[in-house]
Amino acid sequence: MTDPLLKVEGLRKSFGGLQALKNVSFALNSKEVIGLIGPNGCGKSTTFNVISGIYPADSGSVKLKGEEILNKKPHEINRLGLSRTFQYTQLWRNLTVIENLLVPPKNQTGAQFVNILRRLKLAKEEEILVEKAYRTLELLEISHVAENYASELSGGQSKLVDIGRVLMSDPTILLLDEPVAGVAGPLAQKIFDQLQKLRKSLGLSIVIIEHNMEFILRKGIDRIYVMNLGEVIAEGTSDEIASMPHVIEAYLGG
Amino acid sequence: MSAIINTLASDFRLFIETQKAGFHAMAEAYKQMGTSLKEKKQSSNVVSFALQVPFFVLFSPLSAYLKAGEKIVIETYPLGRKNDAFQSRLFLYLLMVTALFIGLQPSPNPTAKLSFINEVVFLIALFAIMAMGLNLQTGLTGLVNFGVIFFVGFGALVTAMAMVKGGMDPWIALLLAVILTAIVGYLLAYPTLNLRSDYFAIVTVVLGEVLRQLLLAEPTFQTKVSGSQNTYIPELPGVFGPFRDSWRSVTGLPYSTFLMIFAVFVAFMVVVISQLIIRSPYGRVLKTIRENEVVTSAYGYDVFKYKAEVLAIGGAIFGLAGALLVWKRQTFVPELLLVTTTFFVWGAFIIGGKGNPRGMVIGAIIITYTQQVVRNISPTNRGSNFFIATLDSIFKFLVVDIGGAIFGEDSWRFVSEFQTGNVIIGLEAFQILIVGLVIILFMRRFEEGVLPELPYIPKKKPNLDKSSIWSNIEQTETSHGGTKE
Repeated sequence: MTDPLLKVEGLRKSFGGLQALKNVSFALNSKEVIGLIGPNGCGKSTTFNVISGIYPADSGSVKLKGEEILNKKPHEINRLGLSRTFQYTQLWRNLTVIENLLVPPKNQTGAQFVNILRRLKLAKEEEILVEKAYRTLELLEISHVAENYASELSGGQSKLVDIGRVLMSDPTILLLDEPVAGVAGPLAQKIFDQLQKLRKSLGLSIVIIEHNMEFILRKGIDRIYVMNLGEVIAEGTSDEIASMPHVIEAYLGG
Repeated sequence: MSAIINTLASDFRLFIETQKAGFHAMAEAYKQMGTSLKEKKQSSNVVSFALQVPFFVLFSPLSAYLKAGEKIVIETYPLGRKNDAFQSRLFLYLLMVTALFIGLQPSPNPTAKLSFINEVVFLIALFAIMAMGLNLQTGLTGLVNFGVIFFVGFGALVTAMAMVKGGMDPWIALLLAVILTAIVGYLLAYPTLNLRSDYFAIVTVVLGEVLRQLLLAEPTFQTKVSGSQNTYIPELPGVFGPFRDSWRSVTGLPYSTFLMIFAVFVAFMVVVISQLIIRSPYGRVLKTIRENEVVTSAYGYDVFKYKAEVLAIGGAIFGLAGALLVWKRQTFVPELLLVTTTFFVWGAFIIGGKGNPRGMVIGAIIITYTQQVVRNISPTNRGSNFFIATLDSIFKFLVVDIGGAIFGEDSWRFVSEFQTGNVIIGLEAFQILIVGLVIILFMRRFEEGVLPELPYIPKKKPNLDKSSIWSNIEQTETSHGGTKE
């Protein structure tokens, strides 16, 4: 067996006296969907923030395709193919939805100041990206709001645009922080189905944080890691996790 | 040709319609005013009622007029002033109205008129250039820069030093000012960009003042020689000297007319560059930094690099403005670096509409024109105009009656000088007050500026067949599956 795509080992992070992450380790194999669950304040989102370079870690190691990425800058990590969403949907509010989707694609010629005069090439690139953006919006069934400002959207629509935005960046690894919180049930199901499809068609590997345990156990996720108080306390398939007594204790507060 | 006439005709029809609707709404507002004033009189005390009267008499009908007009526009052009087609027309018409206003400005003789036009148009161009630099930094990227005058002053300093102390050609001095100011902007990024945005703003405020104090203390950096006389910076010598002479002999116009035309040309170029930036993916990245820079960096953009670049680009534009200022004033003294200039540039920026270069031009016109009109109403070019006579009596009332009662002798002495004509005073003393009032008035009605930032809407929408999307995904799915197995 080859090395895992993303390998997190012994991650530690404290904010002043608060030890947010004590010892977090997990691995993500290629084309796998894993879940990261746990009660409030157990360090799930902090784990994402440390992996994606937004917070510096105290110690530990994060290896992406064998390369150490811990404490690299967020944009360097993103360029290696790791994209993430944020727990509180943070769209660029005073931009239109379609414009929100046009920023993430990598290696755009026009994103460098020296190239702003190359109008023809930029127009060609733009046309391709606009089509891709519309396709992504169609996929998420929100193409009717493409020309609205992001600030005009409802909470659920914002979540969908956020997912669309992360898909536009052509990631190999997706870190999704509560992707369906606040999205209506049938649509949430559909998003999960779409993610499963995309995983197969685009070869994505996905880490999902989900607060709702009941929900995630039914979604065909390969493996689940359970976190509590900054540590991974359990690992296994949905069925295994559902029957572990200490997991249930952590969730229900024993 | 017929297409142009058609569009003009349809625009004219739209204009008439908006005026009709506007005046109708205004009349309605006046009808309702009586009842609402009565209600107000009963519900509030005398002072607050007196303060509210001008609002009811003047502003609320005006606001009704504008709202009704805008409603008509939105029927033809969706989004109104945020519609690109409508906005570009509005911009052109506003420019024409400005030209008309400046052309019709009364003046005693043609020479005075020409010099008025030279001064006003030059200042409009200069303020538009500065506002566009600010627009790139603050309007687009969200770097709050209260130190416009620092960058402009630095550019002016470099130009003046290069020309006077270095004996360089003015054009090379201008180029040097642009390059050095850009470098200063870029270097400024290193100590400041890790600060939060409000602290960055404080740093920029301080920088302008530091530069001014530094220049006051160090005579080496002034073009003023010890003693009373200024060293005047020469008018365009060097390689362009012959050009200047032929300009004078061929056109018969003064040097300041050439400067005015050059400044307008530069402003036009800066508008073009700003539009190029704003409409490119580069500008889009800058906008995302303004909105939420953490997310921008999480999507693979080096936020620091972009911010430093914008400080440099904006700095280059400010440096250009500084060089023009020195060319115009032909001297460089620390007194040029007034904090009020930053204030006026911010006024133009706010009135015009952040993130919109055309708006910057309109904002610069409004601010500069207000300033110039105020400055021009002075005893030397007064006629027996009713408007000016009224202003005079108001001024006399304020200074002689009220000011005399409060300040005593000083105020009286001031007035006697005023009456003998030794002191030219008019509305000029109230310049900042009036510009402030203009800003408040515009902000009440146009929260996002006269010409707000345009939303991005793709020109060509892709032709998407609903079934093709799903089949596309399905196909790739099967093809991937096929290669795997």
